[in-house]
Amino acid sequence: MILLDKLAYSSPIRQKSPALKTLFAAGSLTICVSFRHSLVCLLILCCMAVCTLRFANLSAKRYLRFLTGPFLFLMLSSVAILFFFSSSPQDLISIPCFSGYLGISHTSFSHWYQLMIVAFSSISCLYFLILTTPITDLLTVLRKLHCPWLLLELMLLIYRAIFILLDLADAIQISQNCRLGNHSFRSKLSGMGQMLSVLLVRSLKKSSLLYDAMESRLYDGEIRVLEEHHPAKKQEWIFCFIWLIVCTVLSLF
Amino acid sequence: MKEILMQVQDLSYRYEDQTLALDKINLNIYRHQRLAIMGSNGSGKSTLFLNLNGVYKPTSGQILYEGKPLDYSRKGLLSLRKKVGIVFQEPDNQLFCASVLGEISFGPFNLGLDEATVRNRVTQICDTLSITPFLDKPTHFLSGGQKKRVSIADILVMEPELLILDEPFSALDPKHAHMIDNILKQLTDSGITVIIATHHADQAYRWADRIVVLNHSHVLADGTPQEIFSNKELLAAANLEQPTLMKVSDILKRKGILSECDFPKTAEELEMLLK
Repeated sequence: MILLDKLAYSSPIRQKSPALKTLFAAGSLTICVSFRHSLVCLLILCCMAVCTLRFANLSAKRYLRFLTGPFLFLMLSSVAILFFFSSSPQDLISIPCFSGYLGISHTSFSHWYQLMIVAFSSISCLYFLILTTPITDLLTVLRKLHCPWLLLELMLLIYRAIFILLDLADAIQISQNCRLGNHSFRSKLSGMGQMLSVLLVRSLKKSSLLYDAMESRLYDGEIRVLEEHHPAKKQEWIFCFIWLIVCTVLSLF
Repeated sequence: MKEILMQVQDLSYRYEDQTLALDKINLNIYRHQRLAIMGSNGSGKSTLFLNLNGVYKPTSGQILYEGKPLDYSRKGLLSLRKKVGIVFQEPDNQLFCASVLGEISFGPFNLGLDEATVRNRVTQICDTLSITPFLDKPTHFLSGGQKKRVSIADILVMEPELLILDEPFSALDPKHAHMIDNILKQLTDSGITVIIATHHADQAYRWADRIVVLNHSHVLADGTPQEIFSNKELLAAANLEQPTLMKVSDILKRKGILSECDFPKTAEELEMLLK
C-alpha cells in the first residue's frame, strides 16, 4: 500500500494531467471488458506493460512480481472454468475419474483463455493508473466527473487516516520488538492483539482531535481545498483518443 | 494604556469524564502582546486554548473578545475563529488532507475567499516558511519538522488577529526553530497578538514579554519573564527551570561583573553588556 503510493508519487509522469491518464487507463479497460476481443486485449496488455515500465518508477522485475499476485489468484479461481466433469470424454484432455471423465474441452479452454486475457489486460490498465497517479489526483478527476462530494470527502479522510494508523502501528510494532515482544508465537499473538486494541482506541481519540482542529479552522461540513492543476497538451489528448478509437475499431472486427 | 483583546473571567472547564481541566481562570490578553503560557504537562494549557477558540464551551465563567462575550452560535463561532487561530501541538492531529496544497488552502477557503486569493496567499506563506520544495509531496511522506511547518502555515495563511501556538518548537531542528522564532517576531511587529505554550524556559525567556504559569488547572503566576524566572519557589512549584542565560547572569551579578538591573535575553546581548 505504502509502496504503491510511493511509486505513484515518484512516477516521471506524476505531473501530467490525471484526467488524461485516467481516460487512457479507464478507456482501455472499458474496451477490454466490453468487447472481450482476445487480440485487442493482448495489444492493450502489451501497451500498458510498456507504458508502465516506461512511465512508472519501477523495474521489470518488480512489475512482474506485482503481477504474480493477481496471476496466482486468477489461476486458482479459474480452474473451475477450465475443467469440468461429465460422463463422456472431453475433446482436449480427459482424465478418467470415478464413473465419468474430468477434462478440458476446446470450448472451455477458449473460454478460460479469453477470461484470463481480459482479466490480465484489465489489471495492467489499473496498474498503469495507480502506479502513475496518486490518490489525491484521482480524487480531482472524480470531482470533475461530479462524483458525490460525501464519497470524495470520505475517501480523502480515509486515505489520510490509513497512513496515520499505519505509522502508529509501525511505531507500536517496533517498540514491541525492541522489548522482545516477538520472542515466541504466543507473545507475538498477544502483542498483535494489544496493538489492535491500542489502534482502535487511538484512532477514536485521534479522530476527535482532528475534528477539533478542523472545527477551529471554520470547518462547516464541506471540505474545499486547492488542487494541483496539470492541464494536458492538445496532442496528448488527440493521441489518447486515437489509441482508444483504434482499439475500438479493431475490437469490432 | 494597553488595550485588552480578550478577557477570561472565572473560566472553569470540566471534561465529560468529570476531570476538572481548568478551575476559575482569570486572564487578560492584551493586544500586541507576546504571551507565553507555561506549565507542566496536563496543567490545562491545551484545554484553555480550545476554550479561547470556542471549540470547547466553558462549564462556568465566560470569555470576552474585544469586550463582548463569546457567541456560541454558528455565526458567532465563525467570526471568532476568523480572528483566533490555533496551531496544534501534534501536526498529525491537525493535518487532515493528503496533499500539502490542499491542507494549507482549507482554512482560507472556509473564510469565504475566492480561488485566486487563496492561491496567492498559499503561495506566499509557502515561500515564507520554505514549504515550496515539498509542496507537491503527500502529507504522510513529510518529516516531523516539515509537518510542523505545514501546520503553522495552515493557520498563518488565515491571517488571524490572535495566534495561539501549542508547543511550536517541538520537533523542529534549530534552523527551523530559528525560522519560526523570526516569523513570530515579524508577526508581533506587524500587530498580531501571539500566545505560545511551551515548557522551554529559554525559549519563553527570550521571546515573551509576559508569562503566565498554569499549574493544576490554576493560574499560579502572571508577570514579566524577569519576575517569573527570578522567583525560585514559584519555579519549583510549577516544575519549571530557570533559563540558562538567567542562571549565568545571576552568577555574573554575584561576582559583580553584571549590574543588578541587567537582564540579557540572548548570548549576543550578554556579550554587549560585558564589553
